[in-house]
Amino acid sequence: MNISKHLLVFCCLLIALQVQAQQSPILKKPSKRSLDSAFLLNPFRDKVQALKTGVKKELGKIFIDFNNNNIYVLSGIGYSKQYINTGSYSSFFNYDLQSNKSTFKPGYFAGFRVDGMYKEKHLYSFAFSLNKISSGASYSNSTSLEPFIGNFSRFKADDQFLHLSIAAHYKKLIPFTPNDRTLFYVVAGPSIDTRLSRQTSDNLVNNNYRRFLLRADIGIEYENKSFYTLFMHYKQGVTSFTKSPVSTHLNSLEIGLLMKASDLF
Amino acid sequence: MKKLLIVLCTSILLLNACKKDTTDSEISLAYKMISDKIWFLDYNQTITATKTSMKTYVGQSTYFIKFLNNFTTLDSDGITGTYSVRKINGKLQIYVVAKSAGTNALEYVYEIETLGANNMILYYSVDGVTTKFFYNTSH
Repeated sequence: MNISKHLLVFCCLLIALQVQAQQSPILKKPSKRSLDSAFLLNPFRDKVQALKTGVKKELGKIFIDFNNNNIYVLSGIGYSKQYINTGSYSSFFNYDLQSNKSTFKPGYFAGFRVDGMYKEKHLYSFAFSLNKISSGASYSNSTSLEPFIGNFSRFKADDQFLHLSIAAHYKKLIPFTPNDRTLFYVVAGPSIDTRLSRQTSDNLVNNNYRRFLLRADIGIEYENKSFYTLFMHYKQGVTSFTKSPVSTHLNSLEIGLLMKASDLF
Repeated sequence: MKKLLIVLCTSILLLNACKKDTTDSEISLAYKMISDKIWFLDYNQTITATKTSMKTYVGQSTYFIKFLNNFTTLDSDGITGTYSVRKINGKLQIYVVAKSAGTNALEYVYEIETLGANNMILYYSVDGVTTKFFYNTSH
């Protein structure tokens, strides 16, 4: 009995020691460099850390009522066209308008979107996307020097752009449900486009294009519950994309697909 | 929040900071448009204070001039030399230094009224008389 008691105590001690051994960290001899850096001041690292903490704290304060957030990836095709009024613009150069195509041209876009609910009541979304825009151009006025030159313009619209687009939408559920898996939404909100691409040499002449563009975004979305969302948005230029006296409104029709990021990655 | 605003403002400033000199852009675009083409004279207009007269060369054998991308030029009269595009007093000009077939040195300046991919109007003014040349790349 006594022997068995001693054996039991020995086993308990052994188990306790083993548990302790598993819990205690493997002590690695720190390198000389890491020891040095622990004592040295690293202002950049500290500032980055402080900035990260500050941003997190501030965003937490601002977005306190924004919850149920889901991240989606999006991509699609966008048809764009510029409506141009050259006004009293003058330059040494002229551009023949006979070969100009006044149509919506196709481009593409990809990005991500955060969908959520504000104060447990209002649906919203924030979209960030990179847009490769290919645009047609419609000129409302032209000049001619008959019989030498027919219809021409002193301004030539660029037709290729790369934009970073940031949009905020208010979403409203449409009370139309053909079945329990389908939801329809109407969305509206502003979008700010930042032109990342350079202007062509034709427009560098007077530095015609602006960097930023404000557009109004309205659209409908069809959500096949938990699988994907198809959307169609129309973006109407609110501010001119070019500097005065040329007035240019860039309008786009975007058709695309949204999928939950967690389903893909 | 202050720091976030500083980061945002800096990004906006950086995006707007890079602006190329517009005169350089005008000159390089003008070179691009005129070089490596044969320019045929279609019309010639003489404008005085009281009268404007026009001559047409469309459909006829006419004067032409070539501007090459190595900055040399030659025309149908056998004049060869070099050319440059410059901007003086807000006016875009083509400046030609050349030699005639008889090796006489020539120097002339035409001002550009308008320039396109396939057409250009050049002019010069002497004693209140303006002479305009309407060139086209197809004849």
